[in-house]
This record gives sequence, structure tokens and C-alpha cells, in this order.
Amino acid sequence: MTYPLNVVDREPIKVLASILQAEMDLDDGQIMLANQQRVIPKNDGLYVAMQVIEERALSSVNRAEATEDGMIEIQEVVMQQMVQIDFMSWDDSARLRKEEFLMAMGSIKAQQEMEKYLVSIAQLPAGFVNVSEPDDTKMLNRYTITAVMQALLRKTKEPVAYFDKFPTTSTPEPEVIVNG
Amino acid sequence: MTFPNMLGVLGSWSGHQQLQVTTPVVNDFEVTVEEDEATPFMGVLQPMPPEKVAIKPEGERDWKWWTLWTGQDMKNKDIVTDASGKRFVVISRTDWSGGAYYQYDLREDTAQ
Repeated sequence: MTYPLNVVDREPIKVLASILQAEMDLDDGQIMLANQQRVIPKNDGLYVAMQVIEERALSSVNRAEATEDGMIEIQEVVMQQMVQIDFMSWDDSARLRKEEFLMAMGSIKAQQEMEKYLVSIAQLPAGFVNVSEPDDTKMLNRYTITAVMQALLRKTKEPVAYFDKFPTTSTPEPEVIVNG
Repeated sequence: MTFPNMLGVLGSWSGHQQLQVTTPVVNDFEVTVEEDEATPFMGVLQPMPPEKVAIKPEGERDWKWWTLWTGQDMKNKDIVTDASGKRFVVISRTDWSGGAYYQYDLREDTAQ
């Protein structure tokens, strides 16, 4: 399903995920959006889950543009999103590799992706929190960090009704009185 | 004394039926189920006995629980579909491969 509200059809959190996947060299099954009932395999390796935990609007703009066929309406909002990223592993991968996230945010790949998809990701978010806990018979190493992103979302409506014809009535011509 | 092969016995149990299993995959960072990648298999699907449901964790006892015996090896969170299209999620797996079968606890996916 395409993301309809982004300028280039890419959900902002997936832009962040693709940057992380490329910079941290993760396979498709190692990084995903959270809350999808995906069980982490009981093998070694790093697993990353991401979710938007808070959003607020920074701006909302509505404007019209003329076209050959009439007029289109452009609705734009800039959203600030707080993305929670969990680094998880049964071995020490999460503890040793979590800082690569900060490196990835300052990478050339990140700059390119942010320009391409009109997304801005803060390079120095708040620190990591150790939320490791026992899971079943093993200890799950888990570190969480919150990234801050800003994204431009746009919806275009066309055509938009506009009025360029006005009904005329059978009223007589106005009388011009000249003070003589 | 070796573990007896139970696979041949399953065919004569009630609830023996054609099923199919699909393993969710991660596609573009989202977990998706590819329906055309389903694997057919035979298994015995029966409602879970109430004494087993009673010891499930709080909040899970009102789920619709089923027990599946089959020779098909599956993983937790795999999706099992019966002939009527009803979907079940694999919650736990017990390996009795020594006896040529596996036992699964399934939760019926009522949110369809």
C-alpha cells in the first residue's frame, strides 16, 4: 500500500528504518515496525523494532494552485514525530552495536534519504535506556532510544470547484447621473 | 524402548482434516502473510480441553483455544487456515518429532 500523505509516497518512519538497515547492514527480518506480533528468533543477532510514540503538528498550510484545467488544493502539514527504537538481542549485539544508530543518523546515506523524502532526523537524540529483562529462559538484552523526526506530509485534491461565472439578471443598466 | 510412531494413528482421530500453514515474513519493515505461499498439510484439530484452558495466563483464558496434532513442523506465530477459511495462530509448539508428530496450541483469530 502506498503512503498517500507523503510527497514521495514513503512513510517517514520507514525512511528512518531504511537508513538504519543500510548503515547497520541488517537483513529484512532483523528490523521492523513494532506491535506486529513478530516473535524474535532465539538465535544470536541484532533485532530492531520501531514505533511512533508521539506526534505533534508544527505547521498546517492550505493553498491553491491554478492549472490548465482549473484549480487544485494543496494541504500540507509538517509533523514532528518521536520514534522509539528498540535494539534487542539474545547475545551481546544490542549492547555492542546500539551506538551505530547515532553514526547512521550522521551518515551520507542519511543525508541523501532525508533530502529525497523531505524528512529531517535529529542527529543527537536523548541517550539510551537499558530495559533488558528476562524472557522465557534467557535474558533479552534491550536498549531503547527515542529519535526525533520532522516530516512534510502533503495531500492534493483536484479539481476543486471555484466560481468564475456569475449569473446575470434582467436588471436595467445603471443610470449615471452627472452633476451638471 | 523407542518412542512409538504416532503419525499413522492421527488419520483415524476425529478432527483430521486438510489445513494449510503460512509463515509471516517481513516486507518493507511490516509483517505480511503471503496467502499464495501456503503449505498444505493434514492434522488433527480439536478444541483444547477446559482443564488446559483454565491454567492459561489471565487475559488469555477467554481466547478460543485449539490443539493441533500433526507431522508438519511449524513455528510460533505461523498462520494455520482450515478449509472454511478460519485462521489460527500458533502460540506454542511441543516437539514430539521422536514420535513423528508435533503438538501445537492454536488461538483462533477471531479478528477477521
